[in-house]
Amino acid sequence: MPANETGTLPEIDPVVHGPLRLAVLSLLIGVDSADFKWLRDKTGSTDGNLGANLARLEEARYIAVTKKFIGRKPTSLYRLTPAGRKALAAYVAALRRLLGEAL
Amino acid sequence: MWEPDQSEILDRLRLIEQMMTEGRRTTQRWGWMFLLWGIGPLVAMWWEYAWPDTALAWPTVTLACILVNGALMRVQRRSGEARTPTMSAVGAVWASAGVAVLMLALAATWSRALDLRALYIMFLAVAAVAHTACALMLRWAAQFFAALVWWAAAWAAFILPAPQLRLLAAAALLAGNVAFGVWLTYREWHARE
Repeated sequence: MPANETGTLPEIDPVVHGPLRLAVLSLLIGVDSADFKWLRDKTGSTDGNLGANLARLEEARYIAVTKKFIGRKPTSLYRLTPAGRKALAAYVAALRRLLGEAL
Repeated sequence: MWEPDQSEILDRLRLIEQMMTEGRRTTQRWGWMFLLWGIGPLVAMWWEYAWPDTALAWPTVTLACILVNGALMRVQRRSGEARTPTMSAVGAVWASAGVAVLMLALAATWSRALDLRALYIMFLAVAAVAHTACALMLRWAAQFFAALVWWAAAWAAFILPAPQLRLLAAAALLAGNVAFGVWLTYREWHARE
């Protein structure tokens, strides 16, 4: 297994590492914001599973939630925070180091 | 400690790439909007032609189109959406075009400084600018051709006799909005199938 200069393996952020959370962060990086239904349809996840993972990302401050009404229907809009963007970039960099690619 | 093999790492990288691409792919439909704002003004023009004594044609049809537009956008939002910077920019262009046309029409009506030729040229040019701006943002040849239709009509409005301006505007609406809307609706339906 390739290691960095100090001989240790790159650290993998456990929050980003979950496959559904990773998918959500990757989706949000290309948009300003997205609602729950869009995220659910794109990831193919269930409501409960997605909800739990979004809560984890929100707790880590990697995503921010804005609640608003569209007509009379409450909607939550999710967007990637600067910390989330940085975390995803760091995760990709760590994966590439694990693959042994040059930075 | 996660100690993956190479295929697991590649799978993760592929997932990231796939989701980033998926995130940029819009599933929204906009063909209906061009159809609405092509057919609506055509209906108003026909109403005005058939019953020239009434001043209700344009206010009624415009209000109806605004209400239908709002209702259909709400329906579209319920199917789940994401906003991208490009979509926000395109939306801003069309909202601005709509506001410009409304403001100019109201000013012309209330001031009674109704130079019909100038009014037609302004409306045709606003539509041309909006289509052009979107074509440039989206790098979309089809919309660029729609913009050319509107620019050609705006040019022709300087030259044609006044009685033919209404026909010119109708032709621009048919070719620049309705035909474009039909094509876009077909393309969107085909993409879903």
